[in-house]
Amino acid sequence: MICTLLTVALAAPLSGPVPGPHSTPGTDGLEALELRWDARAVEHLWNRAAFGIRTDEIDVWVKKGPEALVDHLLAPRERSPEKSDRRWTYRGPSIDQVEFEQRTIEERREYRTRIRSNYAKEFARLRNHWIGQMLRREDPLRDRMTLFWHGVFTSSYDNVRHPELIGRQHETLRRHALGSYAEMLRSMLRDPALLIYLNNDENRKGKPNENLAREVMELFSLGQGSGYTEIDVQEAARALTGAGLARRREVATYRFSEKQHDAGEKTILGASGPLGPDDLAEILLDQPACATFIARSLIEYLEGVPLAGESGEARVARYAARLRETNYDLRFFLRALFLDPEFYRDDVVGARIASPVDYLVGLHVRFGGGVPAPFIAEASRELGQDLFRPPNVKGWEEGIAWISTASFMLRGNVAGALVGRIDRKAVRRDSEAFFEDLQEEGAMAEMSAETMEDASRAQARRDAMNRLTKSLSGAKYKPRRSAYKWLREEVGSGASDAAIVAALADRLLAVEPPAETLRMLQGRLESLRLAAGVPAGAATSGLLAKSKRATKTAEPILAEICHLIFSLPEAQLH
Amino acid sequence: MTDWTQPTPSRRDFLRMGALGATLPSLGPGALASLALPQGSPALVMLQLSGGNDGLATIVPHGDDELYRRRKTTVESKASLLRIDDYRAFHPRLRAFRGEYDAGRMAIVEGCGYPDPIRSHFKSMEIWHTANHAGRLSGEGWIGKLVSHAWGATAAPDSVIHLGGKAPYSVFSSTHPAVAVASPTAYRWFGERAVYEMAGTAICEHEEGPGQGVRPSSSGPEHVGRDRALALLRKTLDDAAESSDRVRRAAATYQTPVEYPSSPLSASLRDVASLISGGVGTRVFSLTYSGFDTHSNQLVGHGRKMAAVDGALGAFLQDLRRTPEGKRAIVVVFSEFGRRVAENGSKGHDHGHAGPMFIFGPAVRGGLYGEHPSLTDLHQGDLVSTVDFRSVYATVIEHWFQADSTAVLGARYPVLDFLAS
Repeated sequence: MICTLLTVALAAPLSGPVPGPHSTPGTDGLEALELRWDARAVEHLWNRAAFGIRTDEIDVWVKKGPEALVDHLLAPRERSPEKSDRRWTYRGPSIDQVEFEQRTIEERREYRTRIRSNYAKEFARLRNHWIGQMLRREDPLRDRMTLFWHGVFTSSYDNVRHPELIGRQHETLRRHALGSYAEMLRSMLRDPALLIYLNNDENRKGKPNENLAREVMELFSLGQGSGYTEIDVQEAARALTGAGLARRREVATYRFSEKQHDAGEKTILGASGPLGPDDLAEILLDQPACATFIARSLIEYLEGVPLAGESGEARVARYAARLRETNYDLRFFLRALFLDPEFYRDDVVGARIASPVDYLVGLHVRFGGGVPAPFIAEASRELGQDLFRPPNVKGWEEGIAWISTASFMLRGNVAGALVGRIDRKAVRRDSEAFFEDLQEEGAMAEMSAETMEDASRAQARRDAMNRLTKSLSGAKYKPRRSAYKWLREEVGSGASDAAIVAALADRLLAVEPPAETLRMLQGRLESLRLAAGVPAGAATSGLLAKSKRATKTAEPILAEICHLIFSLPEAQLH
Repeated sequence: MTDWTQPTPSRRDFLRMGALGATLPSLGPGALASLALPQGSPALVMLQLSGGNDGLATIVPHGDDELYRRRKTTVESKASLLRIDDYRAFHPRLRAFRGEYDAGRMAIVEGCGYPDPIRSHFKSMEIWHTANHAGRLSGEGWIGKLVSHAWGATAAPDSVIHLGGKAPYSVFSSTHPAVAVASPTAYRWFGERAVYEMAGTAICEHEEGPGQGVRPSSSGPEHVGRDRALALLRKTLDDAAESSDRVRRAAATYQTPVEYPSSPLSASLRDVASLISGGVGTRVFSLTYSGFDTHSNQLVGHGRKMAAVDGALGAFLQDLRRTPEGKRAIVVVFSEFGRRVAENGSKGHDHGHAGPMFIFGPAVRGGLYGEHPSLTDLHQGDLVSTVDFRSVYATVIEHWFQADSTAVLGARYPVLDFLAS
């Protein structure tokens, strides 16, 4: 790939008296870092601000420069009325309490079953709708940031149990994701799904429930250990009394009940008065700790490494100050961050562990598309990121926590299914062979044929690959061949093993692999090629020769190399 | 021409053995098993009840009128409780607990907690996971430290296994990452093991002589971030490749006459039983079971949880007693905090502090330990702890694993008597 190198002298991203965080003074009085705008920087920004980029799309952004790319990512997308299907809305009935009461027991049961099955259908549609948006890459930065905020202002479908409310919360987060955090916080304190998830619909005068009050301080605004006290939590719980729901026919909406609200004097973080939910939001937004917490969370999420040391703290402080001065303008914040040379420092580039959604959507982008959204939803769930069902109120833990020995192997298996190496039959065959081996070795001597079949079935039930390959065959999925076609165009039909491996790794990986990894892949390709009887010339591998027969031999080999590349440690990074 | 597709022991195995100063006499498929821990080693099963289990609804102080003054809608009827003595009783659904207690195989350590209690789930859990008030800032998880201190370089990758998707911080270690697996029988990479190992070591299969090992070769300062992440990922992949077959076999071949209830917790505990009796050599198993954050309608929700834990643990303990390896296992049950003494406005309880810990197993000296916290002498409405939970850890470290608890926990905590020294 051509590495056009542009060293860009950046103007302040937005005019104003505030110095931009990108004009970072060096820590030891050294010159400020400069932003090296090259292919590596372009791919880095697409990895973090979106879900990756195809190799052949990079050069144009190298030429256009950083401001053009950042503006492109931040630019509002049209959501014209004729495209209103882009906004998810619930379809179908909800349980109507009044009507419900008038029915016979038999009718109620039937009614409930019908509603439940509709809920399940609608919930699946919501997840697929969001993933579909990510896959289309129309507004990738908004999708990225909505995913971030979904992990902050968490609500789980398991508790809320109504797809409409979860869908409305999603749309609210989406609306504010590139807007203002202040507006987002205010909206969330009136969000039905969040109020249900944290029991605030049961928080009443004289009978406070402090669940929301605690979490809003600890996880949504100030951060644990930032100086608020238990008394602040209890007073905030009083301020939130009465912030609940009105449930009517098909919808539940926010309702503030004066009757259930404790209108007495309260003191929260030094502010006193007959404080209510809206006052609480303003008090929180007014705390320096709030801007610090939000700035740190955003930077650490997008950079993928913890901010530490004096320079890290100073950076957080600068960004936090800007957040406060701009009334928590997130567009402004992201623009500054994406133009900050620190965002492109060597510690950061290629060092972030891809979450399951990052990994799967990234695979779709790089391998050539066509991955069904329901499959991504299911695979992501199996890998630990179940959209709209975060594990707890703190959301998902990012970083190395995504990787366990089991999820590591499962990621490789999922990729193997997507490149066409593993299907339902292969899963069954693998399981049968495993049990046959055990029996041959005498490890299962005492098992009857029946017990064995039970064991095999029990194993299949708990095997994620069994479910996932079923989902793929249900969707009539066929792996795209575009990566292989692209390969021949890119390196030519006479390319060497080394050139083939380098091109594939460049396309499929979000980070540059070390030399030894390329050597290992080259060795593997050579073995497979020789085993298939494809001879090599002095400098050509012979694998990409232009004939039907050669293609038929080459594609399974290339698929195996793709499978191995997606299973690499390098493939977990972006 | 060598057939590279045969699943022979990889060069990585030689390297590893070389590094340990040993040579492999034979290269059969069982060669690696020699790295496993000796069979019959003591095992520890840590069961975490996430969300804050209400201790006062688990071991109920029915002899204290104060309880009934503070709790109206969240108490079980006195008649239904399973009495221990005039003061305390088990929750009505804890029938198996009661059986274990009566048989002298269950220790109840009352009033467990730590100084300067924190009511955040996440911070408090970190404190339990690291045995340190600073949480993660203090370093690795306490089990991770236990592995380093007690078994060091000889620890096999599957010395610690978490049964479930995401491992808790307690088992976190940068040098000995824990194996974490939700479905042990499906724990594998599709493809040849030797190839998968290449992915982890990046050793080219045609390359002669030692390869790079798990540390990435430095490709210049611009890759410093990537290489740091790669080193940990390669180690994890390496452990996955090595533990996969052993774990999968033990789980798949396990047969037991004990009938477990049908629940995810039961299934995971059955897997633990299979790995213990399969002689994988695992020292510490970890499991988490969530749903204890009962801010509303506690009576129903908590009752269901009690029944589920009781059913699953009851079957598991019965299963363990069948085998010699199983008899060498203990189970420790904990939660990040107890709940507020008084009920809130939603028939639930908000976050509190002290709560009981439970230790099960044939090697346990059953009975009551610690001291039941006062229901009237409260700190901000919460029970004040009477025992530092790290004393329970220290007891396990000293008397179960014969390791130095001060080294692992960073401080000296009094050792309790629930295990013979």
